[in-house]
Amino acid sequence: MLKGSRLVWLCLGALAAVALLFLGVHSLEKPARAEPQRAPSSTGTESRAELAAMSRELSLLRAELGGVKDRVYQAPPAPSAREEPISDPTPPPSAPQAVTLEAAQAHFDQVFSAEIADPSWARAEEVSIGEFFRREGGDGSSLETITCRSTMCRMQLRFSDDHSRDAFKLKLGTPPLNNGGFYKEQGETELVYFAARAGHPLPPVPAE
Amino acid sequence: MKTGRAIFLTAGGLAGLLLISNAWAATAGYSGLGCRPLFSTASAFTDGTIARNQTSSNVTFLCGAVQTGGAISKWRVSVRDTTPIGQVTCFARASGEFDIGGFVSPSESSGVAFMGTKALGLLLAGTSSYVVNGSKLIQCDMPPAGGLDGSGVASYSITEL
Repeated sequence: MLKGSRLVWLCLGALAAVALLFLGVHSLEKPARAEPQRAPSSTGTESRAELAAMSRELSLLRAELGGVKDRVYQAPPAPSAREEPISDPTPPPSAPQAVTLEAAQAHFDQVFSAEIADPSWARAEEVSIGEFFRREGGDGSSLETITCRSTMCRMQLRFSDDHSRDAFKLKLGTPPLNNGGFYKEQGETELVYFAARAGHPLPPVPAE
Repeated sequence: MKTGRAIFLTAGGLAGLLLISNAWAATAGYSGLGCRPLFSTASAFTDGTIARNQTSSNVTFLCGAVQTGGAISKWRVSVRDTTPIGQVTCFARASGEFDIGGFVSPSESSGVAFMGTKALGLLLAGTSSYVVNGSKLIQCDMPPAGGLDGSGVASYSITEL
């Protein structure tokens, strides 16, 4: 399909070029034919000189036409080279790329540190999440730090064992932690969680 | 000639990008059989292909999915909820290879007052990224059995971009 379309384009372009060249040659030929009528007083020497000049010009045009023909009938490049931009499975810019957990945490840390706080929301959210941990955290977990800015909260959690840590992961969909986020274990008993604000999903992590 | 060729190549490139972007999104669907309760409770499982909670307490269902190579752009859980109180709440997770970390989607609930069938998560954004060699799953909190039909997951799907 693509090859056919391209061939059509190439042929159309070639035809246009040939037509232009033809017109150019034709316009040169007209004065040559009219010469005997237009300038009856010119000498034979002048006429021969003009004829020689036109002959050279015609030769040049023929050479150009030959070049155009070569380009038109040139064998197309290898399909792999021509179709590379289309067949390359590179995702569109909007498609998320695979990332490492370390890169994701570094990205969210960077975004978070650059955020300007929305004090009223941040304070209320910190209180809400603190209450959630006191209510749901159980004996095996503690909220070490929590800071909210404008679109997300960053919290550091400590667990007494793997079981309490895994139990926390299962509560990630529970309000107020029901707006999405990113978690990353820090060793066996600690975990960092970035909790998104409602209506503000975490930004995609750029590909490495 | 050059302009025509440039137009042709640009148009071809754009068409290719469109094709690629369409081809990139992939949806994988599963029946409720893909879900299992967090703790193996014999009375809390499948009735045909529907994963049901038949216990008198909340049960967490974990519904596994295949990672086809992208972030979760959509997730959908088709639930039955005829419980007079309680609601089904689900969210999607894209975890790393060893579950040391991962991305969590916003969650959605059927609503306490709701009774019937409902698709959750249909238009919600998914996770922002994904991890190589990781896994995808949907987690649902099911209310205690009650009402005519209790609650259950009939099917679910994940669309990756």
